Amino acid sequence: MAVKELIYEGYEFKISYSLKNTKEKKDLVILHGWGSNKELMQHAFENTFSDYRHIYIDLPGFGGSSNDKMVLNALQYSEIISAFLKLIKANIKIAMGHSFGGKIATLLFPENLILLSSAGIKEPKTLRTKLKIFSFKILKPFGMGLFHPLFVAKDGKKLSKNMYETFKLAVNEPFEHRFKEYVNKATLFWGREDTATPLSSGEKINHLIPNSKLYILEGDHYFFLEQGDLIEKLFLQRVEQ
Amino acid sequence: MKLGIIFGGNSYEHEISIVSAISLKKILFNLDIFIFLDTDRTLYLIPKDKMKAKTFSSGEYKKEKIVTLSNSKLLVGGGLFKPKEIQADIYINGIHGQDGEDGTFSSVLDFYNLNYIGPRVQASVVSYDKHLTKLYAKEMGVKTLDYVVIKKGEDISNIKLPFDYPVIIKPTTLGSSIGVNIVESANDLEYGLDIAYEFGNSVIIEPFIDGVKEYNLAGFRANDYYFSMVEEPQKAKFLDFEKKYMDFARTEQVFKAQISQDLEQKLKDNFINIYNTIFDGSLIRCDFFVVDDEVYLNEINPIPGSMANYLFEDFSMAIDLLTNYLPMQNRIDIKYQYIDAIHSAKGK
Repeated sequence: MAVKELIYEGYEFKISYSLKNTKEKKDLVILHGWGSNKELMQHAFENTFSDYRHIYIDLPGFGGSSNDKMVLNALQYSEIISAFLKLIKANIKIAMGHSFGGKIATLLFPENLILLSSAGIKEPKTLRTKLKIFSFKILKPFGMGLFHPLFVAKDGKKLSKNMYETFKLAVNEPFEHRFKEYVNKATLFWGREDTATPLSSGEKINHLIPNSKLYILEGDHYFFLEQGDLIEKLFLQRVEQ
Repeated sequence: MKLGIIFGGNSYEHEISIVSAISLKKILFNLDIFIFLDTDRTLYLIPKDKMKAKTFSSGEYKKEKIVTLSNSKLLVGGGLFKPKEIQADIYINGIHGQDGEDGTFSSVLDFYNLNYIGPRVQASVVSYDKHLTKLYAKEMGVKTLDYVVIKKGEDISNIKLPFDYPVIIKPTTLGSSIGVNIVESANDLEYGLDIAYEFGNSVIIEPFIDGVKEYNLAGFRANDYYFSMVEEPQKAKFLDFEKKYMDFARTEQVFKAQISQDLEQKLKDNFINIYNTIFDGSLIRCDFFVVDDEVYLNEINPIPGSMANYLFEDFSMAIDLLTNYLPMQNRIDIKYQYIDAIHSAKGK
């Protein structure tokens, strides 16, 4: 893990990150979902996309990255991540995001976008249900064993006030138009059994993004954990077409 | 002689300290008192039979009695009852890293006039900060590797290191291998610095010599110097945090260095120069490099993991020897002569 500090809208943020394949010149940035962290994403993808330098980032308020005071919407998150990427002189060719991280990856406007069960489509559920789903249900199926201490910590505890407000924004802010505005190449992957961001959301996003293709894989909201190789293969096939 | 140990602390090496204390329990038969300092800086008296890793990881230690400090003694209980004095003659400062090796808890022990094994404040100052260690070693005629110190926020875009890559980057003030990383080329320098900056605002960069000979020597001064065997630590590329961690748990399987008597004497001479009188009262481990028959000090561990017990043939005896040679607090007898003199001069 490494840490960089940056000032955004007058507040100091500590951004925790890690790099992989540091000799490569093209960058792939990978963003985790709500309540998760970069270690989870690194576990899934560190042995894939070997022609790229990987940049794993803890979003502010998660993992080792701080957010003590600000209530952030997705655009602000993306501006912080952009500022960070500029600091490390990144040359982003691909941005990948899971769930909430998918929205931020979209707003980075990369040449190539990879969305894994992205958030961004409003589902007719109450906020309370959503919080429950995000906090507990989706964390259970793939084993509290190995990863438990890595990314459950923040969720097990009560969210701080500003992060609770941030969460409300995350699930309520309209985002459909952002997908429409993204005109570069998007590759979407979805878990067929996903109950947090259902497949119907994937189909909607696939429809909203003009240049998009949707691949449906086996699994739930965390379908990608053991399928990094397949995701890489399908992505490269599509890009080379 | 009944021994106690104080361990834990608000430190990145908190868990190592717990593991160390548990392994010492098995080795020192007269170690009976276990006092745990949690990260909120509350002291707890841990019964001997509860000295297991789980007591701490589960938070169960919070059910134990809280320890308070008083002049020359540690106390438990209180409230309606008279607090009970803890019966230990000498305490081992077993807190690694921050709180322990940085001198914080030494100051507390000194302030309360308690007898303890461990570095005094000056010893902590010169060993905890790797930059100050270099300056001190130089003053004492002990060689160290070339180095550069960089502070967070410093512009490194045009930096020219006075030595070649690969280099090793360390936070200036941490023990163990936390935040330590090897950088192979200038291209990766910034990332390497960011890794170290997570643990402090100042880092030290040294040349990384792959396959360098490394020798560890522990010891202390009683009437005379008392040394451990010289260990040649096993290493992968370098000992990362996890490996060192495992290292602390070991009680045997040491790799005795196969070196000439001449080199062994050189290591001891360097050790003596470093120990000086500053480290009196502590059992320290000096880690050396040897390059072309020259001895270089790598670092001083004033509270080595598990007290480096595995390096001593008779560790209990070593501790007995050391306990007879602890620096005593100098109690100043105030006679108020000066004030009295002023008063009589004023005729009051």
